[in-house]
Amino acid sequence: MKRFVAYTAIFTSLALLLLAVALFMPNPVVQHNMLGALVDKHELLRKTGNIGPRIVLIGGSNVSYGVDSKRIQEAMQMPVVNAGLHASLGMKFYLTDLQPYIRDGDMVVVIPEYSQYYTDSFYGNIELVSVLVDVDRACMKQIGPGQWWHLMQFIPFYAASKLKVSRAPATDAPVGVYDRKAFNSHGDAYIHWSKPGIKFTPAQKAREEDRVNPEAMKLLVDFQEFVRAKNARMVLLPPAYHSTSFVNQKPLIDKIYRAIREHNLPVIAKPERYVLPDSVFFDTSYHLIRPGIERRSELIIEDLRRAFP
Amino acid sequence: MLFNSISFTVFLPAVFVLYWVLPRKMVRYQNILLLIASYFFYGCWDWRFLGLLSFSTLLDFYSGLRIHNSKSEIARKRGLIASVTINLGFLAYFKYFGFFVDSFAELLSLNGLQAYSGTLNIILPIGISFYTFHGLSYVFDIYNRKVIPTTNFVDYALFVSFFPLLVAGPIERATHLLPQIERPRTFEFSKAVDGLRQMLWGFFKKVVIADGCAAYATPIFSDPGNYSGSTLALGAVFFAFQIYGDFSGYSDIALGTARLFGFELLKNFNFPYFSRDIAEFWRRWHISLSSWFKDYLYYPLGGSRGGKLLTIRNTLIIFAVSGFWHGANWTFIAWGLYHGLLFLPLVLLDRNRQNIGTAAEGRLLPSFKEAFQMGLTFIMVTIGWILFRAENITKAVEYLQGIADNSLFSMPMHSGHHTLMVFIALMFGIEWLERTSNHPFETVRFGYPVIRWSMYLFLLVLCLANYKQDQEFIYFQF
Repeated sequence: MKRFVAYTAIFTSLALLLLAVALFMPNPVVQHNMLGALVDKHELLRKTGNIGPRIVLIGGSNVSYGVDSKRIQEAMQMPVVNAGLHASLGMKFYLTDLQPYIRDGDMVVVIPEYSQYYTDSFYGNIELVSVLVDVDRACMKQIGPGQWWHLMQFIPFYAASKLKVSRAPATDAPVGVYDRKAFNSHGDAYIHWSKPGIKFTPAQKAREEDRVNPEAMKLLVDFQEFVRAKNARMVLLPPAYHSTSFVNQKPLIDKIYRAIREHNLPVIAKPERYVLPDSVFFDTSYHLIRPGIERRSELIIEDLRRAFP
Repeated sequence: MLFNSISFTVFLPAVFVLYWVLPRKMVRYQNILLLIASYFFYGCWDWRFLGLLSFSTLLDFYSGLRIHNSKSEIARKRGLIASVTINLGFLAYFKYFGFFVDSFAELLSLNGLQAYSGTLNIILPIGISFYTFHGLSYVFDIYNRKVIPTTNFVDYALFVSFFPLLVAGPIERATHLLPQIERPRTFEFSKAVDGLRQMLWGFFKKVVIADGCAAYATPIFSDPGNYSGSTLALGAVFFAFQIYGDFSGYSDIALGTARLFGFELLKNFNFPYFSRDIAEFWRRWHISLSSWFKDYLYYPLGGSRGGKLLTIRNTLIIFAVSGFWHGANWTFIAWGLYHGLLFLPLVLLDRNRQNIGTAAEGRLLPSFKEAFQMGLTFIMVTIGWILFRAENITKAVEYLQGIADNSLFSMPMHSGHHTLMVFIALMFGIEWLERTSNHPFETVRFGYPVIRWSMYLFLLVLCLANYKQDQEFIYFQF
């Protein structure tokens, strides 16, 4: 038995050592893909911070891959920054990450994907680990012990994935939909706008046992207080959503909407309003192509005008 | 709790340490610990079905005692019938109720009658087909006087619910596992190490091969109308690899885990894709289920002893029932009957046992004839998987029609699966070299420890790098 335990311990130590080395190896891919754009979004938020109140859109890829910020800017006569990136970074991270950039008079429009309201995905997953390790290590300071505990489970997998042979795209390669260069000066990913939609599997039917996570609600309530303290304003909007997925997920979305209302969060539209035809989606239930982006941007403009006449 | 989950990496070492910390002579406490761990393991899915598992266990335990203690043959038979009826009743209710109601409603509507087909939304308790068959085999064996029932409820409950085999087998027999549960177990270094090796191989097959192939096969099976014949054919081949990696991977992990606790479970797979005919395939694929049906259904029906017609009937029954065991869908019945039809010529010509040994025994490479036979068998099996995987019969027909098209000779659509193909080749290469072993890492050829450990590390990293969360095993739905 002792021999077995000793051998297992040696093997486990070797494996951990290998993974530790792999974890801190440079990752040429992540700095060139959409996650690498986090640094650019920080820069955009910093640069626009001195030019007066802004509209800051925040959320996952439903925001980065589903809005025309320029159109909103023209209609609202206010600079617009699209700070959304990827849902897998988790709502906790992207709301915390945004805090230092919020200025007096800013209008913060929070649009989380529905997955952020239930399970514990608002803590982020493997994409957040890759951002913390390979995009901006300074972000590690934002992560508390509870969130680290949650992220621990992804670290070995991320470390091992770095051992796969991968290369950064060639400098003269065309810009891909999920490249860092796929974002315009407002922070909107735009390469896919004129592409046709790709067939994808809609969200599965909601399970009866799915419940809204009270921690996600608390996170939003705390963020709202923070925004208020900064003399800025916050509103909450539902994401644009694929109609077939909406039908499948409706019972859960209703629960989410009820919970948002019960927590007195400033939601300014019902989920149904942002349900768009399947034909205007790109490759997931949240990413839009041009007709969808135009429609959704109009809806956002109408809702913001109504909320802030 | 899934074998391929983070929680299992905490659960298994904890149970392992507690188990072996208990003194060797305290087998009773070891069994109690394993029983609690097994119920915890099962409860992690859905604690509500622990009651059903306990009831099924109690039922078979007392039925066994009653059958054994009954003096008259009638009382023995009554005990057997009661147990079988209740066991199959649960299975019918949870697994097949919706299917029967819907099929009946469809039948009525074909005859112009309106029927309400809305059925209850019954949740299928995970592993019900497996633990029901454990219990049934125990009761049958007692009735047939092959086994003397145990009077220790903990031992019997552990036989039914031992966590490595609880949710997807192998379907154990009391004659094989109960004696192991009853006797003291000593820790054996070589056995435990071998168990870990087998688990690692199982994880490789599940995480790298099965989940990798699923990413290719799933979209194709979801929408076959959108793909060329060659892509559909390749999708079916990928599914063949997926289901093999998934189920045999699960079995390897189960057998390896059991070995860590000193148990030897029944071998469930014996390199089935190296079979030279369908009969050999069924001696190598899901062995514990095939032998269950052979012993408790085929032989009691008369087997092949009652003439050609009876043999045909019995063969088709056993394959259809075996297909239906997999799930409440006509596709599974069609899959079973398809294999029955492939099997029939062999059994009628008495050629079902012509390939008993291992292919290319004593040689590195198969002969041309063997290679041809293996290729043909693989193609026949893969066609069967289309029936098995399709959502319904219409989709299966659509899929098969799509393959039988001129586009079969076009280039299949594939993107970024070259690495996966290398891993598939690696898996089959190693399995071919070790096809006479219990599992490919049983007799490790890499003599130097450095090379051996590097190989293990390589596989571990591959599993971690390719891991996707919440990828359930296909057979959990059965």
